[in-house]
Amino acid sequence: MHPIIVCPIICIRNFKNLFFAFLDYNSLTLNTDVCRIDTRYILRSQALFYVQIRQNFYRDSLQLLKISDKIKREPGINEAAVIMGTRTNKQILSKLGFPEDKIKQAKESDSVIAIKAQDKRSLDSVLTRLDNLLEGTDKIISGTGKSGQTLDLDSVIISMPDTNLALISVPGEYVKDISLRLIDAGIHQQIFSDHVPISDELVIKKHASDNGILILGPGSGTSIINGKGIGFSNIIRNGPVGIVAAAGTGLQEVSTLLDRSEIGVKHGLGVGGNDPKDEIGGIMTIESIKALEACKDITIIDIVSKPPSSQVKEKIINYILNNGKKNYVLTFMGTAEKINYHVKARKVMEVNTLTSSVLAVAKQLGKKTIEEIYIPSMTLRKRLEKEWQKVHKNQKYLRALLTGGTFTYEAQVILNGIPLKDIYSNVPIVGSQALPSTSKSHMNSIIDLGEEEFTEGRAHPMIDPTIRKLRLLDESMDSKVAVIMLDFVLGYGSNSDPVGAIINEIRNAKTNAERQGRYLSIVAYVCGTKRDPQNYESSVQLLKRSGVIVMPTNAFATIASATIASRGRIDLEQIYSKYVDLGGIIE
Amino acid sequence: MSKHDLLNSKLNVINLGLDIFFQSLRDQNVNAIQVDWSRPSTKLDKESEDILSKIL
Repeated sequence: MHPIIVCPIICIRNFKNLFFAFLDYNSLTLNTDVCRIDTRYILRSQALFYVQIRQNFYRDSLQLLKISDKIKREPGINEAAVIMGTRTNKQILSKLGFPEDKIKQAKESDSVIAIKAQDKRSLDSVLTRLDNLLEGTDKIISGTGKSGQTLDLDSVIISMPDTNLALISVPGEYVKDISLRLIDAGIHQQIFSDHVPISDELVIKKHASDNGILILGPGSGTSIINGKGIGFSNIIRNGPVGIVAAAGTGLQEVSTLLDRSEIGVKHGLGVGGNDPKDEIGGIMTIESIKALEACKDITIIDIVSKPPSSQVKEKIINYILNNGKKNYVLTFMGTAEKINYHVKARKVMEVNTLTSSVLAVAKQLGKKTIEEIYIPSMTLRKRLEKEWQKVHKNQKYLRALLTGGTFTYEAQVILNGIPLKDIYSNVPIVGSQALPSTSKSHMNSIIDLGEEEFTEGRAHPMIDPTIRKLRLLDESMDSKVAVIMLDFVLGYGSNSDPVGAIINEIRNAKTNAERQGRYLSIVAYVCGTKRDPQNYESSVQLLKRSGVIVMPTNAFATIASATIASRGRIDLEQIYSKYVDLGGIIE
Repeated sequence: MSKHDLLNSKLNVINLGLDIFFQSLRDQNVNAIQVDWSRPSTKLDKESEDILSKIL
């Protein structure tokens, strides 16, 4: 690294009532081809804001998040963000108080290093080690095997003939070549990568099907194989259920609810959201059903998906009716008309929601008590009555700030069925309307913060809570908002403390409303099990202690939020019969 | 059929990509190896690849 000579120019000015000191370090140029460092310090309210742009400096968003977290833990550092210069990221930095004129210079291929420090000594201490931190992540991929060595793919295929699963999370454009090599080597795959062209997916899946290989994904973040979580997954007790899911958070929801119901899961196979579409034709849904049918420990197979195309749905049902030997629950969300097929002394049930899916499994198994995941309608109404009475009649709207894509879908299914009027979303389903701008909510808004417009160049909000923190505070300032709904996903791959990471903003959101003479209701759901790496019980208790209504499932969180927003004026009995049908287990 | 029965065998996994997944496998005591994959320096279009393969 070349020595840097800086020429500080200091000017101080008053800006309204804000003490505003401006220390401008001249733009600096390092003598290197790829990296120009541009720095500026701004002192606002006794805090030092520092921005550095590194041109053409790419790191994976998770690696950058790790660096950000390391810097945040340094003494004297209030905030740190090391992120790619995408539009969303620049908006976030601006909201966090970093100087807009500097941030806007970053291009999408640049990394922005933004640090808010208590004083210059703390900042300098971090900056002296910044290069080491960044250099430590120079490889796109890092890690070691048992032997302490990293290995290339060809070496692994030759030297490790027992390999039976590859977990792939490389950029989508490179997936096909890798996948086809692995299929030829007889290795099953879970493909986490997004942006795999659907034409590539079809080639991969056809070749895999011809060779007896399972392809889970692309876009599959979650699977459970023999009780082991692959990708984003929870620690689930072993049980008699097999799951095929074309919905990542849907698999996490159903498997965690089956765990909390003391039922358990043997295998959960995530086939990717494209699989039930016409272009792919459910190739791996059928292959996964075949694999689960061959598993002697499984008695019930649960298929979880957003609605497949009509042709694929017919194909799946025909396969199950003609070839299946086990009992089934079909969870094609929002499309069921209470259909129960009775075929050769076995049951095939269709349900509308993830909660109903688990209730149907429980019913098939004859399980009597499932209080962990179910609240009777009278109990729910009684519990929420005090909450909606605190909300002013001018507060009409529900805002759901969700991290789970399937949760966003399920919430809209239920809200449209209530029906709640004026539902908007960045991922609208039939019955909802598209938000004019995804950065601003409108009337009842159901937002999937895991969508591409929010995640480009940054980690998913299940890992990095920053974008939801800012949105939550924004929503709390809207006097028309009655209730905010939040989801929290525990398990491998998620934030190490997703509730703790946003609890201050939850409290601040409530305080913001109080200062304006309003009561803001917040409803939350924690998707996880008691054995997950994060502490499920303490997460729930922390939310409750902060005045949050905690519901046992995403469907119940949606129903509770709608009940509060409508001040109790919805027909709970009708909603229950459509979306959390108990089928005579308890009531 | 594949020589490997995925659902009835002990898992032996190779991870290509995010090391967060590799770490979670290791945390669950799953046999796992991290593959050293790096982005190819240049990705040629199909036509260029075909021309090159004929020349080389």
